Amino acid sequence: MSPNLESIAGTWPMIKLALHRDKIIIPVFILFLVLLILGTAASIINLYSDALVLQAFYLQMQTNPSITAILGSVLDPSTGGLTAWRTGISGPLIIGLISIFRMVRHTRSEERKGRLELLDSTAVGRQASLTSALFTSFGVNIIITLLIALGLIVLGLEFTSSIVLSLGIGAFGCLFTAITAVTVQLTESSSDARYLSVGLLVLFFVLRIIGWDNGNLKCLSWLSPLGWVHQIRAFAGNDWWVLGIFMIFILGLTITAYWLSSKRDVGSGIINQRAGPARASKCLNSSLALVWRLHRGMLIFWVVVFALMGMVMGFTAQTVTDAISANHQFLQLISQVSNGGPADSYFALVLALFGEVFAVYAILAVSRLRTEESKKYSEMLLTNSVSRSQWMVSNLIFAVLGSALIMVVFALTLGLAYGSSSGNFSQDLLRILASALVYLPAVWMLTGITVFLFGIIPRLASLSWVALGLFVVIDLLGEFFDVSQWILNLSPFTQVPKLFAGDTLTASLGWLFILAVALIVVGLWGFRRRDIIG
Amino acid sequence: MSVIEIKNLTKYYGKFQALNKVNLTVEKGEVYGFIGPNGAGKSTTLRILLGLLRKNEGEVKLMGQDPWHDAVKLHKKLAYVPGEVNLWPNLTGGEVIDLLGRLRGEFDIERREELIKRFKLDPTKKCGAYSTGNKQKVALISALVSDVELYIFDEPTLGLDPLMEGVFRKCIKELKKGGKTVLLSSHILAEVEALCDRVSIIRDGEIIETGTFTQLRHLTRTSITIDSFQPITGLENIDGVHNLVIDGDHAHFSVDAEKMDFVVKHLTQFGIQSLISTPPTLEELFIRYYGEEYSLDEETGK
Ligand SMILES: Nc1ncnc2c1ncn2[C@@H]1O[C@H](COP(=O)(O)OP(=O)(O)OP(=O)(O)O)[C@@H](O)[C@H]1O
Ligand SMILES: [Mg+2]
Repeated sequence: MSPNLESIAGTWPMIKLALHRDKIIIPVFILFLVLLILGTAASIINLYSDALVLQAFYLQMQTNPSITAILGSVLDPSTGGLTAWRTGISGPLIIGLISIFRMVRHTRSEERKGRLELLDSTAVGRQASLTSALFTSFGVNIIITLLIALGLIVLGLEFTSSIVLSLGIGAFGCLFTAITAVTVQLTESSSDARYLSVGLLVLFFVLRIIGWDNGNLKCLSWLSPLGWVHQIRAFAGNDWWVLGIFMIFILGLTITAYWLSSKRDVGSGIINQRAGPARASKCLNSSLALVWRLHRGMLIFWVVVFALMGMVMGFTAQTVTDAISANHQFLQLISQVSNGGPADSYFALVLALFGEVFAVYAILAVSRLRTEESKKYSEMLLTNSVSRSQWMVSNLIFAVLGSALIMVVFALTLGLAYGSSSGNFSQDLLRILASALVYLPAVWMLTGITVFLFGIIPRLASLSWVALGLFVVIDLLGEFFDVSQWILNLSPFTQVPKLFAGDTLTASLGWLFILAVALIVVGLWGFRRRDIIG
Repeated sequence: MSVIEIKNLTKYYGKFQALNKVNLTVEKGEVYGFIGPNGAGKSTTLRILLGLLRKNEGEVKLMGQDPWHDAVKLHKKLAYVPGEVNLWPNLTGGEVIDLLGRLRGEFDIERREELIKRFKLDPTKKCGAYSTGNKQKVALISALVSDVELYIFDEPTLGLDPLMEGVFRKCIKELKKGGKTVLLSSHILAEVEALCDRVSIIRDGEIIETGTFTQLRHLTRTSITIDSFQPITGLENIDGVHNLVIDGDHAHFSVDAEKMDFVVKHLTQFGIQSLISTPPTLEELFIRYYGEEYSLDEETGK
């Protein structure tokens, strides 16, 4: 059921409004992703211009199952092939997240604010908001695709394959645009729609890992669009037809979204939100209880997702180590760099990757403070008997303890799953737990940065995301370039001892912790002295 | 001791001066109106009173204490409804009422049920699904449910339909009977007129008038419509007569308070058939103070 002309009347002004509201965030998103991918390509080209070095690196990556499990296998021993491999997971994940957040923001969030209600009643057709959101989101994805293709070609990679690689990433973004167009029709609240879409993204990631290329469940990766991106085989034969699968799903989901949208009322979802209780439960009587009520959904979501992730990663670990043990050459290689067993390199990699993911939670949990302030929810508490410090601390508790809880749950399921297959429970579990916990000060650093910004320069509180982006880029660069140590040291994640790679505990970890606490204290102090602003 | 005492309060947002030497005193048991056009500084004043904003200069005392330093202590003794009500979208209205009421201390469950009934609120709906007016009702009920000394409302009837406005007015009158102090800001003049004992008018961050309605009316013009037996003459030459429209033995005009006596004496010589005199409404008071600018703004809807 395609929209008729009347139902999309007013789309153009809405597009203009959306672009105006996002005039900063869209270029930032585009720039971040494009630079990340082109930066990776440039560093690979820079580092492996020598064919022999390239070949050696390829063999090393290809034979290292811990890497192929998470990042997929390298399909072609060329700079292009390595670029496709290195960006094959992170590129789609990031463009997917961008698409989800933009779609939710421009459909449901708007509707919740009642702005749509206002627009709909005048000259704006009922499909206008969906159409404008789809249009801008597809547009952003197309621009990203073009820029990446152009960049890769300019960097000197092969023409057709560069296009195929960027099309794969762009198609993934469009797919999640379409998926979110459907989820926003299903749920009544914007946060539910976000959970649903992000949940699917996580599921696809998990399926991709279970169906990793050297495993025996390889076919499972065909259930995941992340697997499709891999199967496009950019720089390794270019299987164009896989793009057809994307097209079919994008089209089908878009049509479904329009059909659902025409069936529901503005402001409600297909799955209707039930009415709630007329009285609050006995426990809802303090600022802390309220934060728990508002926050628990997100916390439970993260705990469940990472418990699952830990399990998947733990079970994969066994097959990975088996594969490593069978490869004598590689076994020798890693015994030179780390003094642990074959599983150690795998765990070191997993923890390094996930440390930064947990930092996302650490930021999310405290950025609530700024959201609640600017949406004026906090005013209802702060003009009641809740003090400013009390309100801030009750949110902080969740950021600090919540990230620790997620970390512990992840490490436990990782260790238990691995232990259950290796048979060496107690020892492995404790080691994994310890190596994971040392990441906490780095994760809390981001809580600290966010709280500091909130207390001192609230309007710029979202800069903490820029900080995290910067740390991720620094760590990625460190992987490929000979970056000078002082730049690497800027990232708190550099300071974390990689216990599985043979590092020992250092004083810098203590300093990191102290710095995080100091930032939080300054933020608390600043908030007590400043105006509450919208 | 006055419940609210503001002296020479000045507030800057960056370089912009939002309040300039504001003075305001509210006595116990008073219903006090705070009126002024958009952007005059009403909300700013109230938010300083609540310790949400820091003052730059001046003195602010709330029940004898400093609203910035003793915020929590004071907040237990007052209830506030902000100008633009936003509530947690995942909580139901009933939950919000309970939560805010409990935070302030004990509250009467029966009063809660009664208020919900009077305002015709469905407490089982999620706040995200409420209309603007219904959100406003939730905030009003959460404030009214608490038995405190002082109630502060920032444009309380914004978004309420006339019926609910009536319910709100009744509630305020009951508070007054109970000896409570109420401060409400508004630009709905009829509301202030119907409820308040005293008012202050604020404009561009400055208080330009304070007093009871009777006092303020003295400063304004009464409008008069008259039918006489003989054609009226000579009115156009009297100082203090404005907007004169004469049609033979029928005339309509407004007259300054101090010229009233003189004008009426002048009129009697033509023989009065009927005379309607309307006291000035706050509307006219506003137009007088804000002048052309205000009435023009009103017409263009700015
Ligand atoms: N956070 C802020 N930063 C800068 N200027 C502000 C801020 N808040 C208010 N102002 C300005 O201060 C002035 C007074 O605003 P205030 O909200 O107190 O007005 P008001 O009388 O409540 O108006 P309204 O009737 O529209 O609610 C306005 O000119 C407004 O633009
Ligand atoms: Mg206001």
